[in-house]
Amino acid sequence: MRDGGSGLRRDSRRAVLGGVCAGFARWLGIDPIITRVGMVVVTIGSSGAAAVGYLIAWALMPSDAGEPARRRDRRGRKGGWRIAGGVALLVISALLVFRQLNIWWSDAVVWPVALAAFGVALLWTLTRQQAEEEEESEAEVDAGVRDSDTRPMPAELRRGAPDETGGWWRAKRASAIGFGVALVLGAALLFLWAVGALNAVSDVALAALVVAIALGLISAPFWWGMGRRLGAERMARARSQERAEVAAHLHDSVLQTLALMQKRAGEPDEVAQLARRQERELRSWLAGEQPRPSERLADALRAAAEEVEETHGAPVDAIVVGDAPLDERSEALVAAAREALTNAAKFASDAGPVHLYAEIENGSARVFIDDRGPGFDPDAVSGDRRGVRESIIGRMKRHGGKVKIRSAPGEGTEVELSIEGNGR
Amino acid sequence: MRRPDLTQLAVGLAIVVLGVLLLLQEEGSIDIDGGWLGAGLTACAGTALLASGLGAREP
Repeated sequence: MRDGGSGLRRDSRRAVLGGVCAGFARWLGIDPIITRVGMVVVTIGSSGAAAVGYLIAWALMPSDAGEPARRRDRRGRKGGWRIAGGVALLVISALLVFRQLNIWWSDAVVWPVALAAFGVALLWTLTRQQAEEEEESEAEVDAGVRDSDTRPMPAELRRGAPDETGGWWRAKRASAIGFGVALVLGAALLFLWAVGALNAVSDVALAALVVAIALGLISAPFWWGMGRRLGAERMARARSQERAEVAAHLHDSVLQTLALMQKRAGEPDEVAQLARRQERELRSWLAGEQPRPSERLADALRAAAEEVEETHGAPVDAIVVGDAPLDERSEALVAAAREALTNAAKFASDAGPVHLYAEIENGSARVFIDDRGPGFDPDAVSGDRRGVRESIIGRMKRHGGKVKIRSAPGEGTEVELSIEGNGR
Repeated sequence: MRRPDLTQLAVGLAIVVLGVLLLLQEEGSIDIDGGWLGAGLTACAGTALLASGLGAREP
C-alpha cells in the first residue's frame, strides 16, 4: 500500500538516531520531521518513558541497509496533510494517556512544547517543500535549455492558470504558514499564561494588540492593493515567458523548415516530405506530447510511418487513435506494420499516399495499412516471399495476433493487423 | 470481492469500541473520567484522519 509495499524498515539514510522515525515516515509517506516531532513531544510529556518504545521499535524493525536508494515520489503527497493531522492527534491522545497514568511532567511545559513543536514542524516542512519545488523547477528549466524542442512551460503555468489553480495553491500555502505561526505564538502565550507571567504584561499586551489591530485596519487596503499588483505582475511575467517559449519554438522548427523549403523549391517531393515532417512535429508540440517511440505503441507506429516515408520517399498518412504501453506483442505489431508500409511504399507509392490507421483500446490494437497500388493475389504469393509470409503473417501469429490481407490485382491492398488485450 | 474502504472501516471500528466502553461505564463495570474519554476521542479522530489520508493514496 505504501512506498512500493517494501514494509516497515528503519531508514538508515535519513536517520538522526536509529532511523525509526524516518522509517515510520517513509512507510506513511510523510515528512520525517512530523514523526520526529511526535516522538520528541511524547517523550517529553511522558518524562522519557516513551523512549523505551523507541528502543523497542529500533530492536524490532529491520534496517534498510543494503537496499538501493529510492527516489522520492512526489505523487505520494496526496493525503499528506490528513496523515500529518492524524499523527498529531494520535500524539495528543498518547499525551492524554500518559497524563491519566500520572507519567507526566507538567501541563505548563508539555502542552506549549507540543503546540510549538507542531507549529515549527509545519513551517519547516513548508519551507523544505518550497525549496525542493524550486530546485526541481530549475532542473526542468535547465533540461529545457539543453533541448530546445521540448522546452517546458514555466512552473506557474504548469500548475494551471495563475489566477485559478495558482492562486488557490498560494492561498492554501499562506493559510498553512499562518496556521504554523499561530501555533508557535499560541504556544508561547500558553506558556506565559501557565507560569503566571502573562498577568504582569497583560495591560501592555492588550495595548499592543489594540494598536496592532488599528494599524492592520489602516494598512489593509495598501496590502490588498499590493497583493493584487504582485499577482498581476506575476501573471504578466508568466504570459511573457509563455510567449517567449512559443516564439523560440516557432523559430527553431517552423521558420527553419520554411527556409529549407524555399531553398529546395525545385524538388517538390522533398518539399512535401519536409512539410509533412514539420506538420507532425507541430501537432505533437501543440498536443503537449513528447514522442516516446520506445515506450508507447502510438508513438512507435507514427515513428515507423515516418521512417518508411523518409527511407522510400513515399508519403505516408498515419492516424493513430488511443495508446498503450509498448510490450513484446505490440513491438511485433509495429514491426509487421513497418513491413506492410515498406511493401506499400515500394510497390504502390505512385498511386498516391499510403494510409496507416490504428485503433488502440484496452490493450487491444487494430492497424490498417492500405494503398491504391496495383494490388496482388494473396493466395498466389510464393513461399519464398518472406516479406509477407514471415515478417508479417508469421510474426503476428507467433505473438498471438491476426492478419487479414484484402487485395486483388488492380484494386489496391489493405493489410489488417490485430492483437487482442491480455484477457483474450 | 469489493475491497473495504479503509477510512470507513477505521471510523466504524473506533465508534464500536467507544460505544462498548461507554456502555460498560453506564453499567458500572468500568469508570471512565473525562481525561480517558478525551484521550479515546482524540485517538479515534486521529485514526480516522490517518486512515483517510492513507486511503487517499490508494491507486
